[in-house]
Amino acid sequence: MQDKHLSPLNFVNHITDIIAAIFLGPFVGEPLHLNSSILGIVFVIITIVWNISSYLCFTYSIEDSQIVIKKGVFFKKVIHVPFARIQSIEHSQFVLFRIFDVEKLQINNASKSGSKDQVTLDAVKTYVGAILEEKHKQYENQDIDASDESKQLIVEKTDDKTESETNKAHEYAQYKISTRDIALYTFTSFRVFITMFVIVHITHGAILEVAISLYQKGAGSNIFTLVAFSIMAIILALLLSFIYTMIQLYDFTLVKEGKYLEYEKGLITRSKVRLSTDRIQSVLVEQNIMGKLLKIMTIKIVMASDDNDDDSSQAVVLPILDARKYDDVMSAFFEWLPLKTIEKFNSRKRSIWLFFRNICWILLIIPIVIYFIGWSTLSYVLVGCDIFLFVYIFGNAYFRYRVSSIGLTGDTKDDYLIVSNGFLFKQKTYYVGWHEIQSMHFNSSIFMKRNNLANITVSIRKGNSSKNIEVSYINYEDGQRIYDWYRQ
Amino acid sequence: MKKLPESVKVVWLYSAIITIVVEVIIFTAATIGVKYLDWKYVEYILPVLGTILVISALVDMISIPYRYAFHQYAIYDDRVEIQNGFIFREQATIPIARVQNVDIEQGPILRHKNLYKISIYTSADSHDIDAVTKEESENIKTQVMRLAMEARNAR
Repeated sequence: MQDKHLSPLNFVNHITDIIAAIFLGPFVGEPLHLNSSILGIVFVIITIVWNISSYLCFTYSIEDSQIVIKKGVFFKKVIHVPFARIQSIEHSQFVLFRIFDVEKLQINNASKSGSKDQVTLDAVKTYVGAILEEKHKQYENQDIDASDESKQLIVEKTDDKTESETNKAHEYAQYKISTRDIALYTFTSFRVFITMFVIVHITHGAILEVAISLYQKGAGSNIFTLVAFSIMAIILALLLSFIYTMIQLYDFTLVKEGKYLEYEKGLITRSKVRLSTDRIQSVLVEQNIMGKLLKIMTIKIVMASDDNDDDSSQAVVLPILDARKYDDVMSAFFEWLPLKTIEKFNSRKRSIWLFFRNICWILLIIPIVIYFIGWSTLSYVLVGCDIFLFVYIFGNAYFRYRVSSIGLTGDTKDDYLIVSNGFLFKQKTYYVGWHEIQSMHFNSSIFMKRNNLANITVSIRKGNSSKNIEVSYINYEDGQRIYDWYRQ
Repeated sequence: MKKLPESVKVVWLYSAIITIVVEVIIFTAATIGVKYLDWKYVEYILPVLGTILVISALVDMISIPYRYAFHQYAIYDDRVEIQNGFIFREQATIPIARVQNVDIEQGPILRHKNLYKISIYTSADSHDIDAVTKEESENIKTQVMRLAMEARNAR
């Protein structure tokens, strides 16, 4: 396919530009005392002309070994992406485009230039995506066959027992989300409060005023109705965030086929990503304090991509996983991960104090504020806040001490590091292979060394930059042990 | 473990002096400017901020022998190691197979002393060796890149 244009449906994506241009008219016109409506029309015309010309200048060609994009109205740019370099291809389809069989393709080649040279085909027929996937698969296999023979040999040696059988069992696995899972996911994550905050923020607090006036009109102001009203507001927010999550994760499906993972989700915009398991930089298990109580967790994968947004660099692959089924599910989807650690080093008990000490200066802010504004009735509330903050920080320090650990699954370079840390009552456990670690830092100040403490920081690839995973305040010798494992 | 060339101390000294001079000029000018503008609080913020920055640059200057003594690096067949600091001691290891590219830079002060700064990039982060001599920089570049190619092909 040579020099093809995108589908004309691409203009639908740009309707928002025209709306923005209409609003830009009065925004620029009024302070300058110009005729806003004429200015608005001029802006709209410029936008339309710009969109049409950039549409005409954008072409893509799929060649034997690469995809070539030509774009730019004034500054022409040609981007070549060899298929062997593609990390993954993201398909997303807006609900209206489904009728026309058109979708958006985002090709992640994970170059360091990131989103600047990102290859996105905003609207193309779905068969283009299929061709690209086919080519990508073909080249990826070649790449791996050539370079990974030694690795496969090791795998064969360790798997003495009926290898074909175990392989078959790992060939295919599927997970489909149920409504119950979506509900659990919504109610156990603290996103409901974030939703409430976002709603208040985007309406500039108007919703708060409405709520308060409703409350004052509807009921007298006593403590009982206040509590009832608050509960109602929370339930409403929960419902809204449930609907939002439902739209986002609608019909979420994760399929593992051979060495490929494929996940699909969404109601209004349906997105689909298929990627080879050896492109995964790390597997991340998240569990917050609610999850700990209910024994459920969320599994994500960390990938290299062109964007740093969570969707493409740290995708949720199993929104809800029952802790009791953990071993089964993990070995079905991520069979290459060794789950058992042979050595595990925890944070020292002393770290409770150290975690607390590192952040406790925050507690000083409120006394300083009170000192400057003077003592009033408001101060009681502030002191209350400070006490709450103290408990919270202390709890956080204790939580971090409980969950921080670093473990090894073996002594060789094919083994994994299992790093677990926590912040604000959420535990994150990363499984990182030796080959995926980009660099490792070992630090220990002289004060820490006197107390026989050390920190380990592991740097891995995430999105278009790096992710540092840190374990603090483990024993000095244990830290040295991990560092030596990496240095072998 | 190798130390940096001795002349790096002079480079650090120059750059600390330049930083201090530039900071003093900027903050004095800004403070005077703000005085004329009659901007109530900014009047106090600028001198305080300036003093803090100048003091931190001074600390940098005083700590040059200390930094020099503990900034070390080593290049082995399979990894690069960089060590920094004594009070806050930090060691970093980068396997050669993870190295994407090696950058050699030279600013005006480094050029004066005929030294080069080396940055070793992995696909996620970068690590600096503050100054090396010309031959050393060429050695590091060829050695690291050769080893990186070998390591990648061997895998």
